[in-house]
Amino acid sequence: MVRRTLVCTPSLCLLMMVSPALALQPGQLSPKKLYSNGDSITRGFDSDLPGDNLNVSWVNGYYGFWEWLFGLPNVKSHNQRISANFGSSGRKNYIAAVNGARMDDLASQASGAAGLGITYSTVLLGGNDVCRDSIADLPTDAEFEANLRAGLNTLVGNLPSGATVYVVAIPDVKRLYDIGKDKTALGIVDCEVLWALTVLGFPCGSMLSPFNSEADRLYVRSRNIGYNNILARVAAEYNAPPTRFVSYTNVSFTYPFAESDISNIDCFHPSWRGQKALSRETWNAGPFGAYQGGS
Amino acid sequence: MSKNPSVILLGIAVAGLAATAMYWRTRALRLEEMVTSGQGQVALAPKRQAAASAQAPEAVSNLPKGPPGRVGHEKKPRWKRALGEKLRREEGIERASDEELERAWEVLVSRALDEEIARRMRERRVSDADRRRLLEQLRRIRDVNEVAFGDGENADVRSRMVRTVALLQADRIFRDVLGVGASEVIAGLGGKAQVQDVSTQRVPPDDLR
Repeated sequence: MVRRTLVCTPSLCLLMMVSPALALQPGQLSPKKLYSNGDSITRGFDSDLPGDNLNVSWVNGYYGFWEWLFGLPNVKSHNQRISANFGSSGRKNYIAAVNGARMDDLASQASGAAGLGITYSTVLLGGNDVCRDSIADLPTDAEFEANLRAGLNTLVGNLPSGATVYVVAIPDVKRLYDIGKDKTALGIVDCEVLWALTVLGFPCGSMLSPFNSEADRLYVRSRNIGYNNILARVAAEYNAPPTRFVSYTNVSFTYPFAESDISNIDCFHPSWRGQKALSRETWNAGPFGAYQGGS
Repeated sequence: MSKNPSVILLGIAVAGLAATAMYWRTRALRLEEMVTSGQGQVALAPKRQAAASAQAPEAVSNLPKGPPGRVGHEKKPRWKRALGEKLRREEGIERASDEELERAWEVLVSRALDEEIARRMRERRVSDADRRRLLEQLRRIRDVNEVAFGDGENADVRSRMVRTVALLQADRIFRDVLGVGASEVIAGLGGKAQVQDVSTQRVPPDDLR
């Protein structure tokens, strides 16, 4: 009698290991229908060309024929990684992010997800809560948390059962200030002058104003951390598998962004290299980090 | 003075558009000035000629094409490889010359640009001279993305600065002619959006809010 043994060849094993159906949690939907909530970071504002650069957005970015023909950057966004790992069929790539948005805009942005069958939604908001005209304008913890909860209530209410929500920490705005000084030292552009020359107001007076002391900046950084703590705690509360999968990452705060990761145009937003790092780091730390196709 | 609400609203809209245009123009000019002067602080001496060709206002695309030295294209540009393959496959041209490749690029891009202009401008027209300026800026964006400064000191910084200045100037010309930035125009080429923008409230960028 011939004994037949099921052999796991290397290619079969690999296929089994990376098969999406094996790594998603029970009840979790494939992230093919993507919807981003956010601000100018998500819109790739000044990340490459002046203005919005959706092609280099850390989450919605794409690299198609025209980007390739013009030699534009490829950031390997979450959108691209989803196609690489889960296939192009049935894909959707929505952006609801708005330049200048704060946490109190999340509910409005999230309302747009209704009826779209979204299976994966990202939230990167709060940078403009830290970045206000002055320190006195920063929202209190209670205000920030109330706005976050209102937004998440709207968002999860508009998603089908099994969808994933990924909340990403507010980047370290104090580090942005320090990097700006590095850029100035390299002679690329004088960021402090650029911040001061901004035509219609100071972009982030609460951190970047030349009239702030180091103690002021450290205080704003402590608020930055405080808001992130709220994001982490509330995201954990909303996580309710298998109905909804809500996770949080702090990697966008802790990642050591370098001078080249910040826009040469405004010394304020991530450059395309910063967007690429943000995509890679948040993907690897996120709910689908086991999928490394398209990395 | 007119009290007609529609006239007042129209006035507000026109003033808003003018303010936005002024914002982008002032911002671009100030930054170009700053980045250009900043280049003096970086060791650029042997590369100054190449960098200047990318910076000059209204510059045409005359970046160094040859591989020798530490400035220029280190290998055949991607667009040439791609279009070479396309010409071989579709037209049976085994080894397309640089002129043939350039012509194929121009045909492809100018057709897409015309469609994009028509879509954005509707009944308004763009003069042939302006259309040629836009095409030249697209060629400039293409070329500046192929420039490599080798491994020398500050090579990365130099290439980023040259690229930044070229992109800023190209963008300003797009805004002057079409009223929108180069990134929006490139995103519209081919007519198929890769991202569905469902943002409902369009507020000014963070630093304007």
